[in-house]
Amino acid sequence: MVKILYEMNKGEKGKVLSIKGGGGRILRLAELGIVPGEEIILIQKSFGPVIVRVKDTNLALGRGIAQNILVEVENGEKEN
Amino acid sequence: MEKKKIKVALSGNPNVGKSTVFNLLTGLRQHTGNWPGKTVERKEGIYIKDDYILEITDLPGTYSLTSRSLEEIIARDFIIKEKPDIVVVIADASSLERNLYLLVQILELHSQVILALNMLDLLSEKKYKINFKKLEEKLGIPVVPMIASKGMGIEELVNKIIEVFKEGQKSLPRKIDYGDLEEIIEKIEKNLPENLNGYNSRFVAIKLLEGDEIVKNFCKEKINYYEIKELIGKREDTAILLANSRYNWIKNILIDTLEKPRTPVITFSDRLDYWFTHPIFGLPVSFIILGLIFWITYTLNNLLADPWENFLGFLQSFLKGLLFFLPNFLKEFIFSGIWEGVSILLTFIPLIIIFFFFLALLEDTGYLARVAFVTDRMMHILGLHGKAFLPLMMSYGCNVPGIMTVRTLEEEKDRKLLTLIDPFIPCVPRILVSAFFASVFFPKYASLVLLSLYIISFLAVFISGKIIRRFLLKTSFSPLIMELPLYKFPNLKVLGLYVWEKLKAFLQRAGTVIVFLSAILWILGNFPSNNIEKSFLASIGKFFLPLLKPLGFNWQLLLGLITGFVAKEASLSTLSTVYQASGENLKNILLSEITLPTAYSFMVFQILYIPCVATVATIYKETNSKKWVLFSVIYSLVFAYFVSFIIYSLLRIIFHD
Repeated sequence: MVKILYEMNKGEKGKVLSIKGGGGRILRLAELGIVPGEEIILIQKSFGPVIVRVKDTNLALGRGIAQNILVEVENGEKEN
Repeated sequence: MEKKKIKVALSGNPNVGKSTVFNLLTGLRQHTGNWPGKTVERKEGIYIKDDYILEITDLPGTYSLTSRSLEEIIARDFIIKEKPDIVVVIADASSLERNLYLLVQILELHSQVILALNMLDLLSEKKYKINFKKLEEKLGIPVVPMIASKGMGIEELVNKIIEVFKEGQKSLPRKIDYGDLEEIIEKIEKNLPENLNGYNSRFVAIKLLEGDEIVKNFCKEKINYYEIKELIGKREDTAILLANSRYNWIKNILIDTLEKPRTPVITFSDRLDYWFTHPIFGLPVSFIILGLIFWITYTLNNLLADPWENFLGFLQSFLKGLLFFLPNFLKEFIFSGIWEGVSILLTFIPLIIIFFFFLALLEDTGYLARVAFVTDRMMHILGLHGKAFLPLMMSYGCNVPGIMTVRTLEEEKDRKLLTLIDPFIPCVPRILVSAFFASVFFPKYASLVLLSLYIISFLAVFISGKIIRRFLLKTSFSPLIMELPLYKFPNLKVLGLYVWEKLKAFLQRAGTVIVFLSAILWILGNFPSNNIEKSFLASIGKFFLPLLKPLGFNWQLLLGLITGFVAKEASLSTLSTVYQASGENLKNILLSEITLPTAYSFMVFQILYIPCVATVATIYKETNSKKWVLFSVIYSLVFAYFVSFIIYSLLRIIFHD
């Protein structure tokens, strides 16, 4: 199922599908490990930013960014 | 025998313990300055072993080497232009895949690279295993495992640096296979100008594909850019393709060298983060922690104030005794004029030590990033993100450490914005002056009046933020993108060195400005007559008085504001000097001389107008630009003037004055 990153549930896991935004932002996210195809887990939600885990790193992403990333969420039981 | 010099650059992502390694290596034999013309700190130091002197430069922590941030430009220009003998890439072993992304780019630029794998303790907590031998073989460079925070692996790193230097083989930089893009890269390379400012052609071609502005601009200067532009085309996914190729290269390296457990281990960090980043509890927890730090800082500072002042008094009389032979006017100038500036400077020492100790603690343990996370939503109101919270909050105590903390933000423009709006936050001395006025003129509503001043200052921060971002910096809001490093125990030696560096930088760079400005103000206040009412300062006050009539000020108040520039609390002592009264008498005189609207307008002006000498000096130190200091001063004056004017006019209508 495809979801906006910002709307994923805590603990949900998936693969990054696409990132909307200018070249600068896409490159910046890529440098931090967020590229299409990469596995991403939503670790924490708040009223503002979210925390995701990508390539063994926890990243805080502002809401404006989390709303512009599409994720193909894994179906079925959550792991761990 | 002459020792051999080895030029070493330390590079790595932020939060990998790079400054720990640097501090442990160089200790006090280090030197901090700014990169020429930049506001980024340049740290250099030496380490001597046997016949070798390691000249170590700590490059700014970066995730990559593109040209979108000052730090990245500095790091890559250093590697390309200053040609260090050896580049040490320090990586967080517990998130190796992402950390190697920078290594890949450095391998494309430099042939003598050593990988230092730090934080092995976190690696074993996650139950990851690395096959170091195999990693070395596959990467083709030496790998040094280390736990820098415990001092492990530092010695081995030094030995490895010397070993690699001795071998001295200069192979060519590595080639990463970019798959389908190789064809375009090759074509672009053929179209490049001869002289590439020291960059290699492959690197330039790759950076052009990534949309790197600096590289693009120098190519445009030298050749007809049209053909290259055609080659790059309008594809928007090239940057992603390049990044993917690099990650694939890394994955291929790690596939049989890094072993992860099947089910991820829940780490100590994960458990702490449950509370520290909790959507509901996270914010109150951060308020409690920061509030506690704020409270301890200013309580300790107040406790130390008296003994410290006594000590400074002792120092002053001691120096006076030492310099007894000087003529009187010179003694007067040194011990009243210059000493005043010096003592202002020195009174900041306890505050800076205590505050930066806590800041280093927050940063080193990793909690600072969580503060930014939980305050992010709230800071959006001001058009800033979570990283701006700490500087602003600290400014409620004193603007100086507040502005010194601004450099924790990444974007240059965010830093400028924050530096400009920060002085609108009323520090404790400003509130004390206002509290005195409030107790005289509004005895029953003093706390309400103070609250109203806090609200006005908050609105000033809010409105200025919007104005400056929109009309001056012309940028939109930059959202939060930040790594949350794993929590770790701080290293005391590193904390100590951090505090020492901050203090030294403040004394050296802000110090001269503070002493200079206060000496000038002292001369203006004591010549031609040392009766302040007949001094140059009074003449200046009287000259500008007509300008301030619309705010209701008399020249005594104006003089108070002028001396308040030296230190905000000086306003009150000036008033008591010019009215020749103190305590109850001063209160009565003020009540008879000044109307309520004037008093309130004075308080508003006093909260908002130019920050004190120490703050101005700190702004200069941080921005390294006279233009910005001047702008900051004028902007706050104009802003304070308009707000006070509006409030004064409204109050006069209300009070039928």
